[in-house]
Amino acid sequence: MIVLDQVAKAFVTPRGAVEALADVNLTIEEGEFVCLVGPSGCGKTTLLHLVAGLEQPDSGAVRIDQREVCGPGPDRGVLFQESALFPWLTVLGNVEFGLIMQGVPRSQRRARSMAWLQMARVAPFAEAFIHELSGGMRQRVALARALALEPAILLMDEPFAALDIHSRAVLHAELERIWLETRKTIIFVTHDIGEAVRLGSRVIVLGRRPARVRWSFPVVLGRPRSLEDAAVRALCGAVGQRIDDANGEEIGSGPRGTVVDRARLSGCDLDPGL
Amino acid sequence: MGSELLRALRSGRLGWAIVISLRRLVLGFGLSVVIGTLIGLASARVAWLRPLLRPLILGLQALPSICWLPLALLWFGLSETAILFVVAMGSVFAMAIATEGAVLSVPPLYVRAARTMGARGFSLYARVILPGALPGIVTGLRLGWTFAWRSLMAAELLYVAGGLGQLLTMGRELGDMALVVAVMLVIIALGLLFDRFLLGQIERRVRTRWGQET
Repeated sequence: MIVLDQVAKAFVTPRGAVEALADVNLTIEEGEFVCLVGPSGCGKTTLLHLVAGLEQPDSGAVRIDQREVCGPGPDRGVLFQESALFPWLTVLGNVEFGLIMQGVPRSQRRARSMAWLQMARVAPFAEAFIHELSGGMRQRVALARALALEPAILLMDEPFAALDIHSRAVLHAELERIWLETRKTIIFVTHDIGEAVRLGSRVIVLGRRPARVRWSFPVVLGRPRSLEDAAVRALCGAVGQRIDDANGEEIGSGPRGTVVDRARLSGCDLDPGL
Repeated sequence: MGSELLRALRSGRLGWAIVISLRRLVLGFGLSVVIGTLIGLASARVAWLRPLLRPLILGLQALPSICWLPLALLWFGLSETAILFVVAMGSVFAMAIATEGAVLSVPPLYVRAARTMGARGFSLYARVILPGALPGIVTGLRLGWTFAWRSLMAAELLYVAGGLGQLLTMGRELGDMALVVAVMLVIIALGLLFDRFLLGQIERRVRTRWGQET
């Protein structure tokens, strides 16, 4: 269980302190697939970095299973928007990296890495270098690299944002399959409402900076979900409205159309054929 | 001139001079690579050291390395060490500047990702920061090598103790223009060989593997 207890975080910039998070309270149960959405620059990434232990809160605490987070650890795998793969290592070398850091003996490293590359369906590229792969492939490798440490928690920061619509849809299905098979706790940051509703077992809306938790929607629709499904679109619209509300006047000031229109306005990725 | 080259080669004088010069180059330059990389790394990663190291490095870089020769002779006497010192001084600051720049330009994302996988301390440097900086360091290597080579020739001309530089001096003293020009050609050939072929190849391979082909 991940608990954020009255977490606040500010950054010092040349123009003064910027409050990213203020009084965030959030509890995430084991095995949940939580999608965090909110206006861009609202502190979603900061929240994820706090759970990852890459940043420390100014006040409040982040606890995982009652233990306070004070640094990164192999119990939490992190995926970034860019793949963050090391270009000087092969695909296999990248996946083995974490295992080397954890002191896994050489004899086991290769087999374990290959198993995860297979899971992410990039095993045939084990000997390739990173610059030889497409964006979608890179994120698959990054996913395999994070999973290879067998973390209980997977933290994903807009991992598919830079991909084309097709690769993204494929990776949504893969991630859903991996989640159903492994039942890891996932926190998935996105600005794409459609993606959040497509994947999450819960969608959390953060408000504008400084971010607070504005809304939490359990998503009880069956899987796999399609963005063309009426129930999914309706929920996208509802989430979109919450984000508009959280955004205040800035985005919500335009004429209010149908629910789906507003979802589109807020970045809900609908099928381009529609 | 060709026959002069052959004669010098046959007498073994030229061969010995090349061996002596290259040995000095490899030792002096090797030393400067190790020290320069460490200084550059320290300047890039230790924030409070940077304002101390940077002006020092940039200042000393402005001093032509042959100007270290008198000091080297006072410190080390008429010895091989004095020449190695001048050669090392010729390239150490170029290496430090290149390494600092290369380390500062390693994407912080790599470091962050490595930390989430448990990399810390030495392994973070050895397995992420240095490999990440390698393309920039290799470019510095090429520049540093050029400086080292020039410093060596200058030092050998001034402080006569074997090597190609001494052969040049000897040619001048004997009034043997053919020998002088022949040695100059050898110096050009060696310079091209190292820069274009050896270091240039290494640089190209690193860049290709790192996915930075231009």
